[in-house]
Amino acid sequence: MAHLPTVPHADRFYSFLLSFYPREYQVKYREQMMIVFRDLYREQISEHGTIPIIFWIRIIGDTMIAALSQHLSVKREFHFNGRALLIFFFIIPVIASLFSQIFGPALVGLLGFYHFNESGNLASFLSLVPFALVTPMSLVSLVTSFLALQHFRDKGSRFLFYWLGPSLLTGLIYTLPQEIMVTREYPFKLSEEVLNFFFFVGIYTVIPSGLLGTSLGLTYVHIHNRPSFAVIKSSFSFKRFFSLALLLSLFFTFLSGFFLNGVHYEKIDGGIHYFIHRGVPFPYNGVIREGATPPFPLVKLSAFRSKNELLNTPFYKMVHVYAFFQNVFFYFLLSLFPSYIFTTSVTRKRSFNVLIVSFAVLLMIIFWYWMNSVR
Amino acid sequence: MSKSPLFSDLNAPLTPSVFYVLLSLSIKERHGYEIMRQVLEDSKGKVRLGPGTLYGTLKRMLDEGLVIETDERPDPQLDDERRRYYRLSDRGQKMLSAELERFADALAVAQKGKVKLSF
Repeated sequence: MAHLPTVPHADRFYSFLLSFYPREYQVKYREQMMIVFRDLYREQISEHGTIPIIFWIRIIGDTMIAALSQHLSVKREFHFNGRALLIFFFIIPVIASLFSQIFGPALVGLLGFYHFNESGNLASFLSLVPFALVTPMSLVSLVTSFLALQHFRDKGSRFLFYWLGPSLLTGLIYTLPQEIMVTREYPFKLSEEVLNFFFFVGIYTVIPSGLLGTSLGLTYVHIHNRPSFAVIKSSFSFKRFFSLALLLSLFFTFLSGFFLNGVHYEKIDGGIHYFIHRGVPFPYNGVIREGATPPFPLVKLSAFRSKNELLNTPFYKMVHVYAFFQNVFFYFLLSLFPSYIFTTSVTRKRSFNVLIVSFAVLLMIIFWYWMNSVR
Repeated sequence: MSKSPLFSDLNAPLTPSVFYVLLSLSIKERHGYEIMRQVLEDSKGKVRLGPGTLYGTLKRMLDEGLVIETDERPDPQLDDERRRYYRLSDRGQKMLSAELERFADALAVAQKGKVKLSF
């Protein structure tokens, strides 16, 4: 066989994944990796008759870790490490977005089924599909990530810029649309809104930038100050330090995931009921007036006479769980990967135990949450 | 050629992926996919290299002169002529031998101390 036949869709996707590698690396190895990928793909087909999900999970995981490792090793300079982490930082919202793109339609499917059973009205279900496919968070994440990547790729680097800039930008980008949706006007009309605004900017900004900044700072020390690093290492248990960092990351993950979805309140102002729920990327936040059409066509107004009624609707529960998954997933990746990558770069040991334990903890959190919130 | 502390010392222990790649190439020259299959087989499924890990490892090994890309290509009728083949260098052979010696020494110590071996 002089030329192996190609598998177009899989080829295209893997080719996209390869674009995360440094350019110099791609020039040298792209073709070889494509050939190996095709071999592996065919092997799966011949063994299983189809492509199991685990194959794609392995391929994506392998690419992400190897691509970052190549970015870190192309030149052992802070400039490139900063850029690699910057790129990775923007990849995370993209992954979170893809996640919501998968679960958004699934949720709409469930809601549609529920509603169709109740009313037999397919039209209102179909009208929701665009909302689910282009949720605000997904759209904002994807667009800003790609634009930022494009813009910053060839620029110089500054520590603070890399640390604070993208974090602040992401925090603002996630927070502003929510605020505008809730208040229906801008600038803010209530001091409470201003406080909330800063609270959420803080959540979206401080935690990620803190974790990213810590990782960057330690990476900088590791790369540029190797002798001192060795001295520090001799008097300091890195294993303990990173275990602690991982635990803290998971703690913040849990905390932010929980509170972002647990913050909801009711205000009654001049006969207008405000049911506000943060972190839900659906057009669900806003004002619900007595006798008016709610913003979400599937839900009847009569179901929202009180907060308890609202909380007990299957729709709310599903959105609640969906948003929780999305946020936990987002923060989980955001906090885990810098710790994980730095741990492996320091110890030279690709300990997947870290990943496995983290996933186990995440599953426990989700299970606990599920047991306590959906009855 | 960048000098990595990983391979600068002949007596330094190798990572599992580097060790198994060296081992697979000690038998004959191979291309990427063949190396992956051989590593999986030699490690009894414990070391599974994805394309990213494999070529990352090969790149480091090429940089450090542990493996060499061969110029010889098989008959184009039998294989894709774009494939690159790799073989062990003298330095790679020495590293592998040193690692195997270390294993043998450790095994001897374990046997001498009557350590229970489960294999």
